[in-house]
Amino acid sequence: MLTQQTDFQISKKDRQFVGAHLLVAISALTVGSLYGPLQAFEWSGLDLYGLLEPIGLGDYYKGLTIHGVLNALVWTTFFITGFLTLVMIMGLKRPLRYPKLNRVGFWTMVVGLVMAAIPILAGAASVLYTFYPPLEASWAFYLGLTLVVVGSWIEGFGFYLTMAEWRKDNPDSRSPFIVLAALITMVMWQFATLGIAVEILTMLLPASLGIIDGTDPQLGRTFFWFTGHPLVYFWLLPAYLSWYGMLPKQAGGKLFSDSLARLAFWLFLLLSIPVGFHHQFVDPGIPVGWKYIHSLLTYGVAFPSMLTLFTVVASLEYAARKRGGTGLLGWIRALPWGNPVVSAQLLAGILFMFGGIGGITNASYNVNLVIHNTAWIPGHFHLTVASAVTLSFFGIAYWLIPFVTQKPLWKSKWATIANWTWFVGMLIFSNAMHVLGLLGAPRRTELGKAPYVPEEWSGHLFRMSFGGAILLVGVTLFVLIAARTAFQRQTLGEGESIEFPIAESLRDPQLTPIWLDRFKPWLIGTIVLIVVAYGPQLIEQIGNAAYNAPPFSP
Amino acid sequence: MSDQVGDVAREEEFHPRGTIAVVAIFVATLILLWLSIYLILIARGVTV
Repeated sequence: MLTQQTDFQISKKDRQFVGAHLLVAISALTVGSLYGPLQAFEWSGLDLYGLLEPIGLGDYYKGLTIHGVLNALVWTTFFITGFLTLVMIMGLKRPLRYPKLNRVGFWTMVVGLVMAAIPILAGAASVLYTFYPPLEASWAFYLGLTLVVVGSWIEGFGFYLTMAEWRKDNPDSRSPFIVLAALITMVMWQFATLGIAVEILTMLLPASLGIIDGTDPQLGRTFFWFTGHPLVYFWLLPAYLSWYGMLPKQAGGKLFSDSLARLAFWLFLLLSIPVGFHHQFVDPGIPVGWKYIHSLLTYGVAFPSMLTLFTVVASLEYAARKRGGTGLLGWIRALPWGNPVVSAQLLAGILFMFGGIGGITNASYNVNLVIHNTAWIPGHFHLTVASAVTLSFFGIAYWLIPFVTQKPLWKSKWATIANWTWFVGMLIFSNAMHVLGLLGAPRRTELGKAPYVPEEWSGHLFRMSFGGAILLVGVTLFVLIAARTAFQRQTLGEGESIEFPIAESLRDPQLTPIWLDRFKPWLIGTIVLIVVAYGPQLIEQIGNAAYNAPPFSP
Repeated sequence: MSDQVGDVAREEEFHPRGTIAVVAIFVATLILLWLSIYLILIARGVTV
């Protein structure tokens, strides 16, 4: 991982700016992850929430909110904006065009985080990370979340302006793939978050301030899932960026196809958003036909997902064969499994294969009924956000933290152990959750206190909490390695630096078709598809909206 | 870069046979697991 200096040098200020994102992200992960095992233990009958009662944090649903908001929203958003900032700077080999703008974005996110955290900790926002109305939280929670989103938008605008300046200087060059991927991620995020922006500003915030008397839960859920599903792709695309644009290099090979990589990202932009009704298959008030359309469009997302599987695995196979790997599948052994940066992303990819399979079940209009609102769902998204994303981010952090701090990774072997611990823990945990879901165990429920838990669940509940305990060990190791790396006294030796990994493509990217490097047709397509897939239903639901569901503050 | 010219030529001829096998195994697993959930749905019967 150590190499000689390259021509472009990022400034110390910019490294510290990226580092500040990571500090907030990993702090959030640390606190949020402590609640995961507590929930798992509670389900299997070991209620440890009492230990947190003296400091006012002993409530199950408060804990579930902290776990979801900090891990699914804060850890991811701060890590992603920091990572993408570095991708923009290093990918374009130039500093941000307006660094102050990006700093305003970051601090807006921090203020929002503090504003949302206070009511959560005070028990005034135990509404889980989906905050469905008519559940009502303090106005500060909604305003805080809004500021986090607005801050990330501002950082995105800083990326666009930096790219515009680069394009002016390089009118005929293909944009670097990792930069294009970062920009598509941010554009998709800005389109997607319009849903919760409207939900919060027109319904939840006014209701929490007493400006309106109630909410329309149906409309609220429709707005939420306009954002909620592409939110998954906001988490996943930066991991894909690394899998396509960095991992091949880290594994000793090249990107198999620059064109396929770009096509997959464009298709994710096109198809991530108009699929939200597949989260609302059992909601009344949405005609079956529209649910079918969204179900089919969700199957459409499977296409770029399969492109990703093929292209990333082909890049890895190329690397492995260059390292001497042979056989139809024997080459897999030749990958550099001892490098924690690589092994984290390989293991993340393996877990994600099962996440993809579960996702197809979720998307199927009739089969979804078997698992809807059961433990299967958190089992599924622990394979996406907590595996494909989080484990990949572990791997990215193992070079990113050394890169921004200019300090070597502390105990590389421990990092490999952390990866495998997380992998094994998640296999056990998520499998048990999926099985429990098939047996009918509900999600979002304090099962340890439920009188209806049948005997046949108990073995799986134990397995699930055992997996949760292993996951706690894995994340503790990761946080320890991250903290010791960042705060150790040892620095890099004279003339050494940490490589910023950019995978070369097998074909010259300049040969990639121009339409895979231009935003206009894809932006038009995205807007048209959103209008077609959501427009008629939004017009009907907004036209028939009845803000008459009285708020309920848990 | 004579090596590089050779490399590029070899690289562009790279056929990811192993990748096709991995994708085939994945698709077969997907079909089997999806079908198993579908059978659970059928076994539970129709509710109207």
